[in-house]
Order: sequence, then C-alpha cells, then structure tokens
Amino acid sequence: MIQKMKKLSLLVHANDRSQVLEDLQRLGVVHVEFGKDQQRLEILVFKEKITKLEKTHQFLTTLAASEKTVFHQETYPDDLDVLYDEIEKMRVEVDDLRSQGVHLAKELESQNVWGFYDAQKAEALNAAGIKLRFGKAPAKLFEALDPQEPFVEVAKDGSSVLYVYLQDSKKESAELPGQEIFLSAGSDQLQQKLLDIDAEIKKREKFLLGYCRYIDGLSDGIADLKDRLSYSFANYSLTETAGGQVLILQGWYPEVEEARVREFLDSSRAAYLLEEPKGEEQPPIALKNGRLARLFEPITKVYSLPNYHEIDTTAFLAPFFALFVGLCLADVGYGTLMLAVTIPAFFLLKGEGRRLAGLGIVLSVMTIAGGLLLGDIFGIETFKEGVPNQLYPSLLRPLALFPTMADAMALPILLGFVQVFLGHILRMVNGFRRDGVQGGLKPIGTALLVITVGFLLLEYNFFGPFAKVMVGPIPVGPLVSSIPYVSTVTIVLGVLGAVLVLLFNGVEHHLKFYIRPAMGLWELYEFISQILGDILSYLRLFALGLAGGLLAESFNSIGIMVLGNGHNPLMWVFLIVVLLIGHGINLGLALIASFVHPVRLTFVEFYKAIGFKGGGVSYSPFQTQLKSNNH
Amino acid sequence: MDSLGIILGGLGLALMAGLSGVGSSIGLVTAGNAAVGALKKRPEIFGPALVLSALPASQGLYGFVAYIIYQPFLTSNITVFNGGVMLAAGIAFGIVALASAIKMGQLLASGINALGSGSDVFAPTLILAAFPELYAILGLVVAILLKSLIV
Repeated sequence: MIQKMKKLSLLVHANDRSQVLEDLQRLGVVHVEFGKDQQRLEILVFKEKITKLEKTHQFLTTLAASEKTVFHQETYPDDLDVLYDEIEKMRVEVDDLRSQGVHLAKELESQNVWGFYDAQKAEALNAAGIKLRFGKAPAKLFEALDPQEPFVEVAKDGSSVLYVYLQDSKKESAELPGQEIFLSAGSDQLQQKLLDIDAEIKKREKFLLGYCRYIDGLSDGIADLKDRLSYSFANYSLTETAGGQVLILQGWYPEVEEARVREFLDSSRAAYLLEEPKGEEQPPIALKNGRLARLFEPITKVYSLPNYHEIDTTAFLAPFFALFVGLCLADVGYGTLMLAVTIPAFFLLKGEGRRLAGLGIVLSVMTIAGGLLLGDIFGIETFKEGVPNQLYPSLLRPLALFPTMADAMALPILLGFVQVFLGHILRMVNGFRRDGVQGGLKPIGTALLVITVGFLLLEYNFFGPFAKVMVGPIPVGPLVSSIPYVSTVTIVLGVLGAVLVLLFNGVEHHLKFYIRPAMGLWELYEFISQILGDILSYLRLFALGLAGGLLAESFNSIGIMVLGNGHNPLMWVFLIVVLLIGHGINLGLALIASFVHPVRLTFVEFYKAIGFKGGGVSYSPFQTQLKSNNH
Repeated sequence: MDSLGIILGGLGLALMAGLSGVGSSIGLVTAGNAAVGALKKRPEIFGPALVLSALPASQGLYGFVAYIIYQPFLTSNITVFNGGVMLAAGIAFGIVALASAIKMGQLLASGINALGSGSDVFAPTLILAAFPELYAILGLVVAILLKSLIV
C-alpha cells in the first residue's frame, strides 16, 4: 500500500529563510521537492567530502572487524579532512610497500634457482680475479659451447640451461651465449629487505589501527555533512518571488503526519497551503505494508517503486513470488536446512539483515510446502515406485498433491493463468482509480480474453482430453466443462473482451472515440501474440524444480555407489561427505535460479499484465541524521 | 524395432535439449562477461546485473521441458513417422532457441553495460529481452503442437 501524501507550499520571508529551514529539518517529515540547481559548488563539495569520509569509515570498520577488538571511541581533535588525509597517506604507503614486497618476493623466487647467492663472496671472488656472470641459453646452444670455456651448468629450465660463466676479471667482458642475467643483490640482502618491508607495513598497520578509535566520531561527522548537504539542497530549492523578498518551498508529507505538520506551521512565521495531490503530480512514495508483505518490498524496489497513482504491487507479488520460489526448490529437506540457517540469522541480525532473514524464513517454509506438495525430500521422490517408507515418510505421502510429472508441469501453467489474470484485474483497478469507469473497461476486456484463451486451450485439448484435465486434485477440466454451453460462453467472453479492448483502449491517453478501434486492433494483436508465450514462460518453474530434483537424486545415487554394501564403516563417512558436498552445490545453484526466475516472471509477465509504469521517487524527508543517530 | 525411427527420434531429442542448452550457455557467458565488467565500475548494481545476466537460461530450461515431454516417446519400437515428428520438433525448437538465447545474451550485455555506465535501464532491458525469448517460447509451442501428431 502507498501512504497518502499531501502537498505543502510554504511562503517564507527572506529574513526567516534559515530559521524556517532549520525548523523544517528538525521536524523531519517533509519531503522537499528539490530544485534543478543541484550542481552548485557547495553541494558538490559536500558530496565529495561525504564520499571520501564514507570510504575512510568503511576502511576503518573493516579493519576493526578484522581485529575483533572493541576500540575505545574518542572524538577526533581536528578537521575530519585531516583524518582522511592521514589515513589515505598511510594506506598509499602500505599499498606501495606491499607492491614492493611482492616485487622483491618474485625476484627472490627467480633468484633461488641459482641457489643461495652470497653477494659478498662473489665480490671477494671478483677481487681474487674471478668474475661470476649468470646466463640462460637454449640447451642446444649450451651443448655446442667449447667445453674448455668455464661455463658451469647450474640448472635446467624447460629447454633452456641456466649457467654460470667464470670470467677472468682482468679480461674484457665478452657477450654471453643466450641471455645474460644480472642479479641485483645477494639472497640474504633480498630476504632482509623483505623483512624490513614487512616491519614497515606492520608499523603502519598499527598506526592505522590506532585510528579505529575515531569510527563513531567519523559516523557523526558523516551524518553532520549529510544534514548540511540536505540543508543546502533545500536552501537552493527555494524559489524567489516578489523581488527576492518572498521565497517559495514545496514539499510532500504523509497524511498521517498532518497534525505535527500543522502544529509546526502554525508556530512558524511562514504562510502555507496544504493540498491534495492533483492528477499529474507525482508525490514521493512511502510504502506501508503488513509485516509479511513488508519483507518483499526489496523485490518491488529492484524494478522500480510504483508511481503515486498506481497500486503498490508488493502485497500481490509476495504470495506468488514465495510460491514460485517454493516450487523451484520444492524439497522438504532443503527447506528444513534453509530454516536452520535463517531462523538463527533472524534472531542474531539487526536492521536490513534481519528483514532479509525474515524473507528467508518465509521462502524456506514455502520450499518445505513445495516439497510436500510435489513429494520430494533431498531428491527422494514419493511417486517413484519402490521408495520405502523409511526414506519418504508415509505420514507425508497424502500431502503430495502434485506428485507426478504431469501434475508438476500443469501446476505452473495454472499459476501463470491465475497471476496474469490477477494482473489484468489490478490493471482494471488502476484504470478505475485514474480514469474512472471507462479507464477500467479495457483491462476487463483483456481479463475476459485471458479466460477465453484458457477455455479455448482446454476445449481444443491442448492439455489432453478436456473434461479430464486435472491439475493434481484441482478439477480444472471438469469445472470448466460443467459450465452450461461452455463453447458459447467462451465465444461470448471472447467477443465481449475484444469489443471492450477495441472501444475503450487509450482512455488514459484521451484518445478520440473513433480512433480507438484502430489502436485497439494493435492492442488485440499484441495480446494474442503474447499471451500464450507469457503463460508458457511459467513452465520454467517446473523445469527448475525438476532439474534440482534430478541433480539431488544423482548425488544420492553417487552416495549409494560409494557406500557399496555398507559393511565398511569408513564408507559411511564418505557417503556423508558426498551427500554434504553434492547437496550443498545443488542447493547453492538452485537458490540463485530460484530467486532470479521468479523475479523475472514477476517483472515481465505479471508487470506487463498490470501495465506497471513505476518511476516513483522514494519518500526521503528533510531531516537531521545526526540527531536520529544520537537517539 | 525400427532403427531409423530411433535415430530420428534420438536426434530430435538431442537437438531440442542440446541446441537450447548451447544457446543458453553462450548467452549466459555473453551477459555474464558484461556483468563482470559493469560491476568493476558500479559494484552496487550486483542485484539487477545478476537478474539480467541469468535471463538467457530460459531457452535451456524450455529445451529441458521439451525433452521431458518427448522423452517417453523414444522407445525401442518407435516408428519412422514418430521419429520424424520428434526430429522436426527438435530442429524447429532447437534452432530458434539457439539463436534466440545468443542474441538475447547480446541484448542483455548492452543493457548491463549501460547500467554500468550509470544509465537506469534495468526495466527496459528486462522488457526488451523478453522479445527474442518469445520466439523460443513459440518454438516450444510448435514442439508441443507437433506432439499431437505422434501416433
């Protein structure tokens, strides 16, 4: 449900500008309609500062979490910009040292092929008249060298030979065969450098940890900056009139807050006007749903918030979404495992995490329900002949209402029809609300056409003999065939639906009456060409459910193969390992697909039926974050 | 036993499941690559990018459904006619699903790239991607209708 909003127009004298804005920010319920002047330097500076400090805050929070220590919090004595600069400088230095360390480690590793290279001894040899030179040459080239020359093979690297050339220091340096390699320092020196770098990194990390005592102060600083940013937004949204003496500010507030808003306005020195939203205006959107439906609001927001004149789809998509996820996963065992994770998470987490865990609990329950309906526990299927009661409890067998492949395939189609039909009904409600009776007639027409398509598919035996079509225990065929004169009813519904579409399309665009039939033909073409595809798209639920079930069954088979005759106790351990890994992989993959495909059915097929436009802007009141943080 | 019927029917099954699976795999990789690139620029679009990049899986799923529908007909005594019907269904659906999944992947990759560049095109991309998929669904419908010819 979308909260009702009211429009506030405020007339402020130029002298009262800052006072009224500060009071309004403290009131914290008015969503100010920001003007277009949002690229001012002041605003850009605030935004940049907030981004910088949020980055620093994130860094320190992660650092503190990795240390698993509670840091005593203090207020930072200087400007937070200084804190950012110090931390950034230190981070850059740490990154630089780390990259130096990686470079050195690589050098040491490549040098290790020569053994332990002692640079001092090499220097002493040089002084004594022998200069060590290192090289790498193809094996054939090395073998062809004069054996009298002082080449010493050290190692082989693929088809190349690594060698040392013992050169007389007094002689002039000749070019070495292949590639000469220069060792920058001795192995001990490189190792010492690495240790030094490590010590430097640790020193800086210790310094950085010291900054963790300013995390709370940083949070407050960011909140303060955000307050100042929203103040600037509001300030630059004031429209000057009467030669700059009077300023106008417009905003929206939830109708439930009217008493507070009126109290504030009556005590302020500003003149005001409170109005209901007009037809074309788009107030911000604040969703208000029940506890269960609220869990699904993040899914609504993935696509777009509805606009103010539409129905909030959350409560309508929620049951279908949960059911679809349940049918995709459809396994009592998997659902139980999910519950074992989501229930503790719900009690341990707070805020958004807790809401997501709540959603997880609902989806887990639906997975169990889906598993019960389709008769599946860890890939063990009730309908398979010879599955003993110990594996699929006989107590649960009566609950498997859609156990066969045909039932499992027909159920998503039936659900598709129901959801698409509901979509057209919601479109009708939207049409009635927006354009009166005429606005709702075309969606009634398309809803009738959905029924017509369903009846026609049954009558033409698309799903098998008409009167015998059963979706599990649901007697779809017998119910429809029992309608008196069902063929005539189908034709009447179809004709009526088509007429309504032809005559009442384009009402929202105020199309002339005589243009509508032509446009209606296009609408009919679109409907006819897409409805079958839309419904069949729901078959993905069956495919996903079946694929997950078959994979689970495969892992069970592998486990049984591993177990053999069961006499070896060790094999039981292997069985458990195979089952844990196999079902773990299957559940992980199935979870992703079980989220994505129901989302797609909701956003494409369901939203298309609703004619969902969206584009709503989230209600974001002009308020002080710092104050609410301190509360 | 009619070995020609078995060969035709087997080919039909292989084409409907295989081509759609290949198409979906290519489409998923195309869209997935784009998603990885876009996430480097804007990590916050992971949710929409995940939804979009997973969409070309549809054709593979439809192929799987078609396989499940036709699989019981592939028996040791299948007639040449029935095998031919299965082959026709396999070709009709398989080719359409292959092309539609690959092209759908490209369309989604464009959308995901645009998301990565800061354009809010999640909803239009989702809707536009459903257009090429429609023909894969129609291919599935053709396959289901052809099933009625099997005697």
